[in-house]
Amino acid sequence: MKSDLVSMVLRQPADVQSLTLQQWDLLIRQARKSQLLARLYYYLKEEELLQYVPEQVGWHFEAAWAVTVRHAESVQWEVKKIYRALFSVGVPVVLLKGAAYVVAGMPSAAGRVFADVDIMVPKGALEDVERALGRNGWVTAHHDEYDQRYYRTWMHELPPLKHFKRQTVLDVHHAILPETARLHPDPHKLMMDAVPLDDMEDVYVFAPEDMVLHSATHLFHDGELEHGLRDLVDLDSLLRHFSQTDGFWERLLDRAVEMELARPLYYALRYTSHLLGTPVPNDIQSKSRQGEPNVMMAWLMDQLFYRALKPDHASCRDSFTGLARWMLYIRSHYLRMPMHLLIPHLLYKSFITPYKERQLEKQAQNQPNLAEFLKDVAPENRK
Amino acid sequence: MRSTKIKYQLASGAVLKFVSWGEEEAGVVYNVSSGDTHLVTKAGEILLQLLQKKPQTILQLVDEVARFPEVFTDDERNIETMQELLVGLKRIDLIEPTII
Amino acid sequence: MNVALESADSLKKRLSGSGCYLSIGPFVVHLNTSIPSVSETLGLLYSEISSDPKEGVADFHIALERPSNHRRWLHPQVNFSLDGHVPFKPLPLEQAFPLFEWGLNWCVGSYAHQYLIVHAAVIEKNGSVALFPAPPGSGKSTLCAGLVNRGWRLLSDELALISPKDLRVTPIPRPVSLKNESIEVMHKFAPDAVFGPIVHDTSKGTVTHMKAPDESVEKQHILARPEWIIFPKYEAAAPAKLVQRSKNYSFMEIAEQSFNYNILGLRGFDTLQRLVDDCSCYDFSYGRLEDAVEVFDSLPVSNKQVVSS
Repeated sequence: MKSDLVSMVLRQPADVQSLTLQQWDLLIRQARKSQLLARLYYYLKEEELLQYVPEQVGWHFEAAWAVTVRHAESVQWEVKKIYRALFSVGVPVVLLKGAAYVVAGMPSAAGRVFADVDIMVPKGALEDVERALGRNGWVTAHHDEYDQRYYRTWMHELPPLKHFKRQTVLDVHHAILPETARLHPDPHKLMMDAVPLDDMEDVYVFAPEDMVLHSATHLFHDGELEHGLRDLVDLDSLLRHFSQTDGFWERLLDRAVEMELARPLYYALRYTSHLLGTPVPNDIQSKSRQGEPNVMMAWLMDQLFYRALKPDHASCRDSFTGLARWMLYIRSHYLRMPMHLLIPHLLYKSFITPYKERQLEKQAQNQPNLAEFLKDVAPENRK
Repeated sequence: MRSTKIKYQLASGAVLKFVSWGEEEAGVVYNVSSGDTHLVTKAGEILLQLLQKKPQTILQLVDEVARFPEVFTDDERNIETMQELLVGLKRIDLIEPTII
Repeated sequence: MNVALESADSLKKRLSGSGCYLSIGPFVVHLNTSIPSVSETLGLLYSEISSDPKEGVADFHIALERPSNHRRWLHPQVNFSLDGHVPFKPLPLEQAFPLFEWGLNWCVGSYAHQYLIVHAAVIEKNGSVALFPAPPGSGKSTLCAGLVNRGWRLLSDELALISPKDLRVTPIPRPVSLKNESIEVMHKFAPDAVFGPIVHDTSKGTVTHMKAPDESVEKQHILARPEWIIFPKYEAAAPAKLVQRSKNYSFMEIAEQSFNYNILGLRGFDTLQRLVDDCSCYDFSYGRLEDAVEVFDSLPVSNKQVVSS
């Protein structure tokens, strides 16, 4: 296994000065796989190290950056639309994750690739919210009956919605973890302490500590770690940004305990400091160990996370990486739902869904292929 | 709602750029905020520029476009025609009724 | 070293081993494949390009390999992958070389946002530079192939790489793709041109590729700024005719034919605005290539300089 150049450069951007051309080639490929190419560009720009980027590879960074700039603009527009759609419902709307970082103008937004917009609303308002969104063009994205049941009945969530014109995806939550999960951070508390935004009435972002905890929970609790390193970089960025405020670390620890999220916080502080050099004060690091699992579990988690938090690129895999990722995938589902739902769900996901997909394929007799993709890619990109 | 009291405005957050060549019926409008590009008629372009300045009701717009007789003929300076144009612009997300 | 200077066997061996670095226009492609038709067609159609950039760094790491699944023996297939990522479903093995071409188009269109990329052909003669944006089926490739066999330089037949800074097009002269009837037409029109194998039953029909003229490849470092934007339309038996076209509609059409106009946001709009501003826009209908050549050769010779890179 060759080295994880991405983490190396993130830890110590100045190290790029000693990279060979072949290493730049590998760095770009690893970073692209991890969706961190634009973020790397941002760090190199901030640290005034762009002069060390070899001329023949520079365009990869700039091109990736251009995409994220466009994504951010797109999210800003999307949030305005959501605001207008939900204005009449009159409930607080909390922006989560990337959308929050962008709208709040945080450094964590720079170089970020955005997929969906996530929002949180009070549970009682879900029906009204869904209706208001429906009136404004958002329709359900998952038409599979099983998926609908999975979201609504079992997980007590709204399935992701897609805007019929803009094709953008909106995830409406009422809590940061599903009701069936083993941890129960109180959404009411999260909403009470949320911070209002200046120019949009009734739209909020989480308080700093909650932003961090949400990010940590998503990564270390219920996330599938598809983009583990990218999410870790998010966390690192949030921690560095908020640690500039007095008393932040203490508030973070206290809040974690209050919200039953001491375990994810422990992992967050452990892995960000080890892998990305996040400057977590020693005493805080020690105190966070109250969230530590037992020795065996801690060892196992290290084995899994140290592998899964590397770029998902061939150059960063060893013989156990595949197994590690699979185990974390199972774990994330285990933590999200009770056993009696979990096994059938996993069976469905791994066996039945692909089979079903094959069936649909045969019916449609419409193998999406490259030529069609090329034909479609211009109109696709337009929208 | 067909109330003539509704005020229309540019879609909130929209920043528009206009370009057109020649004396033709249509020009290009680019919405910097959404990244969308549209071909609009001269009439549509004028409405957008008016609404860019300030929100207006249909009646106010009918009055304003009297300044552009070469684009809005006498026959066209009425509520029905204006309504049609506004519906078209709303469909492509360039304008919206004001919330309040 | 040029691909042509290497023996077919040696090329095949390298491609299936450590791979080859190919300089294609402004990009370096690292290619790995153990599929014989790819290495043979590559040797034939990319013979003039350099295959051994010294530094061992590439823009795109491409592999064309047979998937190891149960279809391996019944219906052999080929997968295109970019650095381990497989973006499309596999195609029948015979379509391996076209898949390389289409896949490379996809790579450039998806990633090279330092350019405004338009699905268009670009040709140049005596300083006159024409850009043909066109949806599939408009006859763009046939027209392009015809003209480059009558003295026009090929800058690109699929991907116009336009610089947002100065509107110059960066050449990426590659095999010109031809479909169905055009194949027969081109064999007659340019019997001395080099053609790759004919591949049947693709989603585009029957396809082949015509090698880019050597001179086009030699001059690929010479950028050029378009002054003619021409929308071709093949119409059987139609006389060759240039008709001036609305710039407003041309703008919209080109935006539609662009891979990344939307991604570039304001910069894309601004670049396209300046391009349309600068150029004369025409519709061009033609039925016979000979007529087309005449019309194009009589375009006013440009007094603008063609600037080298």
